[in-house]
Amino acid sequence: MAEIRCPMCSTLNQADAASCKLCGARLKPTGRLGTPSEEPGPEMRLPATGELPPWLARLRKDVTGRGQVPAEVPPEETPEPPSEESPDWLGGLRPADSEEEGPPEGEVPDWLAEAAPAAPATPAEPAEQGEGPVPDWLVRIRAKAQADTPAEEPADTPSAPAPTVEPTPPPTAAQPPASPPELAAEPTLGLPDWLLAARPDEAPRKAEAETPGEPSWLKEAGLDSSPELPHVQALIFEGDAPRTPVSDADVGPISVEVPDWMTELKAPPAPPPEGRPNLAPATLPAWLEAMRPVDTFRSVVEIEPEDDQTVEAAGPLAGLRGVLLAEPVMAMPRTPTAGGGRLEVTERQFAQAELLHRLVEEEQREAKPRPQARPRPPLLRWLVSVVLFVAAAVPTFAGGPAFPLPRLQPRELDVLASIVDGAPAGQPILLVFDYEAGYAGELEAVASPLIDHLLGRGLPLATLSTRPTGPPLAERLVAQVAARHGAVRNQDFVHLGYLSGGPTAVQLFAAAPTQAVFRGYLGPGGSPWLQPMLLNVHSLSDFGLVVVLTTGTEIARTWTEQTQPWLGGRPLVMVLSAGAEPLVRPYYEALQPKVQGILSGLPAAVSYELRLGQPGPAESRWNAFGLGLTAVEVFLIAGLLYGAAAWLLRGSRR
Amino acid sequence: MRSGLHYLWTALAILFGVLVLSGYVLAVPSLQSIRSLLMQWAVVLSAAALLLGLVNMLSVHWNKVGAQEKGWPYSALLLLSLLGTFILGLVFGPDSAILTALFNDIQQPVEASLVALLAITLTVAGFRLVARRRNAASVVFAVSALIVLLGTGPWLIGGDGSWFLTMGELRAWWSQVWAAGAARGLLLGVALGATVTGLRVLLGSDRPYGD
Amino acid sequence: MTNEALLELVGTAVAALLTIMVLSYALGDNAFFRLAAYLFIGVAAGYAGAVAWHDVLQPRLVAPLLSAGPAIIQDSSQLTQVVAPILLVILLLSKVSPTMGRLGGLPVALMVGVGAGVVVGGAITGTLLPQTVAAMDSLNPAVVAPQTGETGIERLVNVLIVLLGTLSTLSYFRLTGKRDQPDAARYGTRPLRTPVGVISIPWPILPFLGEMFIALTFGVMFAGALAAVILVLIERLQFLAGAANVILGGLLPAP
Repeated sequence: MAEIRCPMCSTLNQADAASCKLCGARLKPTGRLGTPSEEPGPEMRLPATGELPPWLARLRKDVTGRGQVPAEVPPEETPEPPSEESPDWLGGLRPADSEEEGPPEGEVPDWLAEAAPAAPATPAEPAEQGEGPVPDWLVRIRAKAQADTPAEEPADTPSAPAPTVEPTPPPTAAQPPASPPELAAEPTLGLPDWLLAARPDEAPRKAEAETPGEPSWLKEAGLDSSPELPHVQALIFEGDAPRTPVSDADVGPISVEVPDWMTELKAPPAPPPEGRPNLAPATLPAWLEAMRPVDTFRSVVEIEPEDDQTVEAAGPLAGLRGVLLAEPVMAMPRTPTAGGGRLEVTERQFAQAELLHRLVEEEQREAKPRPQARPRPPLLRWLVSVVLFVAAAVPTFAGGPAFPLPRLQPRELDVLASIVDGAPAGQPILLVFDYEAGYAGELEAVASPLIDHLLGRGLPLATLSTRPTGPPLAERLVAQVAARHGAVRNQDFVHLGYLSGGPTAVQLFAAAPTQAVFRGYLGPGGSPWLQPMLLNVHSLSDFGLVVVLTTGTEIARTWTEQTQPWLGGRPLVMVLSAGAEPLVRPYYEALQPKVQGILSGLPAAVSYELRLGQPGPAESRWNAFGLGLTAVEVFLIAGLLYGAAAWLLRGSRR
Repeated sequence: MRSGLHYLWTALAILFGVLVLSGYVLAVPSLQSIRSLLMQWAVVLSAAALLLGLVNMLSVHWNKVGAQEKGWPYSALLLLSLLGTFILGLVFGPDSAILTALFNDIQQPVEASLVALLAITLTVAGFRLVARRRNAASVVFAVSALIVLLGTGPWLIGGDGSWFLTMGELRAWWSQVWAAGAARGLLLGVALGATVTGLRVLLGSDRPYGD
Repeated sequence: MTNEALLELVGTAVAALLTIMVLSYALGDNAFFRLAAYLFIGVAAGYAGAVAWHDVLQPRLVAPLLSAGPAIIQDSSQLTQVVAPILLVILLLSKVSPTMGRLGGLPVALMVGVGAGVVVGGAITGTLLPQTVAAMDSLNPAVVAPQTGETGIERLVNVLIVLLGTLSTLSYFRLTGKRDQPDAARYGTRPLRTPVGVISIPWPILPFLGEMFIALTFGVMFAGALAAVILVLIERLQFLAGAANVILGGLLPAP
């Protein structure tokens, strides 16, 4: 027994089956759509009126004036097997149930209402709101239907009045497709004007005098068995009558004759014809412009010639030409256009692509374990270490070489000495030990002559520190110098101890010293302010002189900034590490200096010792200091010469 | 999500800062007393913060020892020395003989030796700077350092000569005039930066109070 | 040998050993150096903590609280001087706990706020204003340099150099920056036609001069730092020599 393939799911079914066993799609057409060769197939026949839902039957009756469409297929018509290429999406459309509710009486579906050509762009008004003008094509359909089927019984449709349909203009973006040559001599047959106007080889036809209710093209192509126009199967069902394909002459109530061009499925795209209605070319963004292939660029959306256009094979638009494809363009096989896509690649892009390709290739390559680099011996550091150790140790152990002592005293030394000489005798001197324990070697050598000078004048000393390690450092230095002068702790010098809090504590001490320090260091116990030498001290200005020993510019700046308002004219002296002197000097060299005295560096300390006539630790380190500095100078000069030679050699190579 | 406390801390910090700052210009006794009180509290809190830092260091190294991470024996030694010194200090006091001995025989020698190592490091760094980086700033840096070194230390040869004296004068002029100008600019820049940073706190832009 | 002498000898020996262990870093990183470094960190931290407790917290807070007892609440001055700081310290120590750490915001806010006020006030009154006035005063031709005694042309030249250094250094600093150019150069270059050809000169010139002045000052500070650490190295070697003398002298029998 012959088998037919379902147009929707391509399942093989019995030849006499009415619907597909798998998807339920109609296998046999319900109406005559055109010539046998152009007919899409029996599955696209209009269903009988009895099979249509009431609303659809109403529409059919209103349009065509016919109430019934026979369900059986005419004997001269055999349903053609559906083509392999016919789209099977139509099979997915379930037949409308007659019991389904269609549009209420008088209400026109939106899609139908929007087809009104001259009506405003508003959705279709419900039928209850009043009747509007009927589109020409619908009129022609009705007229033809009435003319073709005079013997048909009036439709026994549940719905009575014809729904008003507002004609909508045809899509403006699409050019009207070209019609096949078979239609050259045919009347308009109710085709819309835009469809007729697209034919290049024939003048737009004027619609024949149409009788309301039947399109002219339908009239001509229906009962007279005109084979030229295929029928369009419309998804309109009448009642529950079995759907049978109808002959071309037996046009359903709203069956339409499909032009030849609608049956062609694989029309190659035609070049844009000349003289088409001008459409505004699409404006592409710049980035999109850069991406399109050069040769196959088509700047405007073109409408293919009618002959070349694909004929829609399924669905409500079956038989029409120039219909947008339901499937994405990508899915449709087509021959590549001549010339292909040629991408313009710049050299930079090519280089980057090469780099990316190389990177990907390298990623895939197995990475060999990189051998661990042998650590290079730090020869330079060893050399410097040996030289410096020898330079510092030789004078220490061997005594020589002897470097000449400084002859000229720095100007600051005179100023400092005068300050110390001018300190009031009865007032204690505040010594602030704010340097790290690591720099004790330098600061002890530099500050030693100053403390010598102070103790030599019999001035009582009070030490303080904002560091936890300050008190023991103060004890180390002051006790060492005091031993030379017979000074006694807690009589000639007192340790006020540790002052915590940074700048806040410094200002608090400057404003109210007794409220900032509660416990001393190595004191007799209790508050250090009870010591006899400190009984009259209630503010910073009660000290005769404030000396800050520090290696950091921050500490120096803090004491300079925070104590000024409370010094009361008392001098502030800084004993500094050689590296901190440049940043403290601006406080010293001013018309109204905030720092009245500076002592910095071993040469100044040696000069001070020479001035006092008391050799001390500064002088004992002078030779080693000289040799060590000489070694450093040699290294720096060697570095400069090496750099200059390398630069000259590099320049000569260029 | 920040809690409301965060905004309260910010407001309080601004209030405290404004009170302290206003004490520089307003000589109102009550303001000065409040200011003094706030500063005393800050002094006490800074000592407490030091202890808090110790606790943090303890916990870090304690976890390191517990997890036996790389270098945990050193962390164990650190913990032992920290706890031992702290406990001895609590019991005997920092001015006791034992703590003085710990300071003079362990802390001060090690710290001084670390600083002494800087002599080698700085010399190597100076050599590499002038040997490898040859831009204008590096050259000026190296020449300036050389002038000061030559003018600071004694000369083995010609230490009493006129060249040595000239170098000494050049060094004084170089450091007290040429460097002093830039030093003043640096001081002003540092002061400006400190002012901006402080004002950011006083205006609530910086809020290092946590949540 | 007395106990004290023995203790002093042991102490000196330990100090010398630790000094050698640290100086061994000149050869390269080694376990001895790390041992000495970790030991130093522990002792330094413990010592600082002991001093903070002994010199600040105990005499200010604990001793008054223990001596006054519960009656401390009735004394208003003690409330502000003792009770309130104790509460603040407790709140600060609560930062150890993640759940209670929020309460530690109050003492931190106090320290930060007070510190900011002190720093801003000190910077403005102690540095910004005085240094600006000093820079302006230096332009007075009648002024004699107070510390150096310079006058006349010599002083004028020096003042101009100092002023140029100050202004160019300030122009090099940039306290603001563009968000998308965090490390933008302070100056560029510009071609200049000369009889010998076209040469590139830095432009604008003032930031370039500022960079040169800063490099000059850093060179002076570098030289000073070098001199300082050389002195410390000398002191360490002298200590080792003395320690060797003491140890060997202590170990060797008296002649």
